[in-house]
Formats: sequence, C-alpha cells, structure tokens
Amino acid sequence: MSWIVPLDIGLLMGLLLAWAVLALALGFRLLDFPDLTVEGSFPLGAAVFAVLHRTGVPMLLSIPCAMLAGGLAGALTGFLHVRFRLNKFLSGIIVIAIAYSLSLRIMGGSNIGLLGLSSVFDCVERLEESLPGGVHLWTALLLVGFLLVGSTLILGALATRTGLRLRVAGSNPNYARALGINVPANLVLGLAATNCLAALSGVLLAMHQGFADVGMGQGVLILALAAMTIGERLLPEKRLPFHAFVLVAAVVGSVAYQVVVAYAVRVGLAPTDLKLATAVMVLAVVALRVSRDGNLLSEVQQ
Amino acid sequence: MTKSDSILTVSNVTVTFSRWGQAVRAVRDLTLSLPRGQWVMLVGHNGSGKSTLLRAISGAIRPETGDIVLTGRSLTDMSASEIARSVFLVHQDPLMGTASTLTLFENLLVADHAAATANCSHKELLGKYVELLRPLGLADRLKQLAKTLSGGERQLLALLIGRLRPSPLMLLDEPLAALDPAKSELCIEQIRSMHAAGKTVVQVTHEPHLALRAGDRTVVLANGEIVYDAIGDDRSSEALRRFWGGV
Repeated sequence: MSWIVPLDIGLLMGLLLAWAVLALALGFRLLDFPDLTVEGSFPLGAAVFAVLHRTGVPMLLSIPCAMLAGGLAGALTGFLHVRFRLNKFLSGIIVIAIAYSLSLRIMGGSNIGLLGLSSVFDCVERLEESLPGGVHLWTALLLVGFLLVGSTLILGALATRTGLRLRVAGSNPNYARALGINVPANLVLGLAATNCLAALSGVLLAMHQGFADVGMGQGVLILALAAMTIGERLLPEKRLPFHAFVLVAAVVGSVAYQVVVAYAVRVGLAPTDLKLATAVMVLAVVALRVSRDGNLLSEVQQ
Repeated sequence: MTKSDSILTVSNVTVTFSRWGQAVRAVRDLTLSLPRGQWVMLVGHNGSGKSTLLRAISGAIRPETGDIVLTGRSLTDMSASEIARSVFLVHQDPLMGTASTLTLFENLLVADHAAATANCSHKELLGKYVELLRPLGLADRLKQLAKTLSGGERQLLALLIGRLRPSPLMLLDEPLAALDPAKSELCIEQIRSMHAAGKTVVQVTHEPHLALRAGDRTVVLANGEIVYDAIGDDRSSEALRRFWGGV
C-alpha cells in the first residue's frame, strides 16, 4: 500500500489547491492579468475564516465572509492598476504585502488552531475510518463534488452576457471599449471573483490541516503557475471551449502537479530541491509538448 | 443641409499627439458635415490624418480644439456607452475588431444589441447568425474560436459585428488592406449591406477605383486638412489625381 500514499496525498492536495490554481488561471487567461494577489488572498481567506469560526460564527457564514475578504483583495489589485495605472505585477505585490499584514492583525498572531471546530470534512470523517491505510477517498470525492458544482457555476456565469462582456474585456480591451463595455470595471469585478476562489482554497486547506497560518500562502503562486502550465500542456485545447479548457486544465494540472511532487518526495527528493524540481518539471512538460506538436513558433508566440 | 439632417458635424477640430516627445498636429482646424445615410470615401497619403480623424470621431482620442457633434450631441457630453451606441470603428488590423478567445457565436452575441433587447432564444440566435455567416462561407464555423480564422475572415467577422451594432455611423479604417480580391469583394458586399440598411459609412481607402466609384462622396485629406470634397458625379479622376495622386 506504500505506493498509494503519495497518490492519496497528491490527489488531496491537488484538489484542495485547485481553487487557487483556478483563480490564477482564470485571471491570467481570461482577463489577461497575471495576478500575483493569489498569494495574499489565499492566507487572508484562511485567516478571516479561522477568526470568525473560532469566535462562534457558523461555518457556512464564515466561508462566504472569507471569500469576500479575498475578493476585496483582488478588487484592490484591479483598482490600483486601473486607477493609478500601476503595473499589473506591482499592483499584485502591493496587495500581497497588505494582505500579509492584515492576516497577521486579524489573527492576532501567526496562526490559529481549528481543531475541535466544525468543518466541511466532518461528514466524511467517519466513512474514512473504515478505509484501510488511512486513505482519504471520501474527502477526495467530496472535494471533487465541490469542484464539479463550482466549475458548473463558473462556466454558467461565464456564458451569461455579463460573463461574455468580462471575457471580451480580458481578450481585447480595444474591441470591448468599441462595444461600450466598461473595461476597468470588468477587470476589477473579474479579479474580485477570481480571488474569492483563492480565498476559498485557503479556507479548505486550513479546515483540512486544522489551522490557519500566515505563511500558508508562500509558494502558492509558483505551484499554481506550474499546475496551470502543466494542465494546459496535458489537455488538447481544441476539444473544449476556451474558458472551459482553462478551467479543466487548472484542475487537472493541480492534481497532476501535486501527485508528481508527492511521488518525487516519496522517492527521496529533498524538500529543499522542490522548487528546482518544479521548474524542471514545467520546462519538461512544455518541451515535450513543443517537440510533439513540432510547432515551436506557435508556442513562442503564445 | 440643416443640422438635424447631419449625423456627424466636425467643427474646427485640431488633434495633436505626442510621438517620441515631439508634438504632431495630425488634424488641423478641420470642418466636415455628414448627412444621414451617406457613404463617404476618405482618402489621402499615409500620415495625412485619416486614422486620427476617425479615432477622434469614435471618441478614442480627444481633440485639442473644436467640437464633434454626433447624432445631435457633442461627444464631450456623451458617456462611453452612448458613444458606442452611436459610432462603431472597424480597424485596419483584423485582430483589433474581434475577441480571439471567444467563438464566432459569442463574438456576434456580445455585439448584437437587438438580441440583448429582444430576449431571443439560443436557437433563434443560432439560426440568425448562421444566415449572416453563410454568404461569408463561415456558417459551419460558428462554434470555433475567432483566433482560428484567417486575417481576412476576421475582418469579415468584424464588419458583420458592425452590422449588428445599433450605431448609425460606421467608421471603416482601411478594411480592405491586405485582403485578397475575393475577400475584398465580400467586404465590399458587407459595406453595401450596411449602407443599404441605413447606416452612414466613412471608409478610408487607398484603392483609387473605390475612391472614385464607390460610395456617394469622396473627401481627400492632406496634412490634416480637407483639400478636396466632391459628391456623386462631381467626383473626377483628374481632380483626385491633382489632390491625391492616387488615380
């Protein structure tokens, strides 16, 4: 059974972090905004959730509040960019710094324990006790369920007129303006929405590991970028509508990346080498796709 | 022509912009009036101010002096969405006029003002767009992304999008540039349909035969000023040669 443990861990982490990968991918691909805020809204969501839930606010109310906090962080990034014409990266970096201090202030320390408090995983805990080897099959199924519901809602929203206008604003701002679409407003709205997802990812991870930590966002950006790149290279783009492709690729990439990392650690990769291994993995996947398609020029253009 | 007849009145407009730190006066004290339903061919050498004039009329750039009145209202008093409902600019670059990551259906839907107000069903819209795309040979590509189209096909799509807009004034900045003869003919057909539907058209061209024979009126720009303006049969190749040299 030892071979299945990395798969279990990787699958679980991939599904937990898929929302953060989704946040980055939707911002990057649909809004044309490489949004670094994800690294700040992820722990901010966890911090807001942990504090509210510990003070007695019901879990089902704490989660949307945490998502709202993440959404406000995303909206602030968009606002800084459109109002003060700050560089997209710089806007995100400024908000990461704000979110870090804010998370510390909200939690009153660097972390808060959530053990003994209710969680969305409570319903599957008992079912998993009967499984051999401590496999988290039911937790994974629950997370897949969340992702299916969430993805359906996101795809539905992107197909509405508001969603279409948002996608036009991201795809071609000049064309969007010619159609009378308010590009800055749509950008702020879009970044708010994507960072709600990043905050949700932080909430789910905090619930699963039993604590929220101010440093839990560190590295999320790198892993989300790696997962997005891997997912987009693994899936055939032409089979799906573009926004559906971005969404599915983010989830598949998140799981694939985490499973590979779990197996790499299992076979003896030192945790200190993890980021180097991530970079090599991303380059390998891109290179494989390019050599398979034989279309280096199109990759470079992209 | 009374003011109420004209859809566009450009009064003493000067447009200056900065290029590499140097002020460039692209349009100089220009005055022009367009009656509803007219099809104007706008010609002139590169750098004569044609594109800048179109961008100023579309609200993309603000004139330094003068006033632009569109459908009876000054541009400065109109919101961005009001301007977008009054005028639509098709760029020379086909990539500028469509959203590459949206399908053809979605590109048409987001621009289709009538569909938004009439609350049409998906099936009705599908039928409508298939009929619109059929003459362009794109009917079977409705579900493909715009980025899969060639440059010429994207320009045809951009013109079709213009037909779906509620704006009575269409500005076409060299829509036929870099198109093969077959695509050019299809584009001209699209513009004729637009014009026949009652839209006022201002089309920039470098094609001498179009400048002289297409449309109702020909205006020649040089150094940001109108140097020739003739309507219908008054247009002569000799005059055009003198002011433009293109014939």
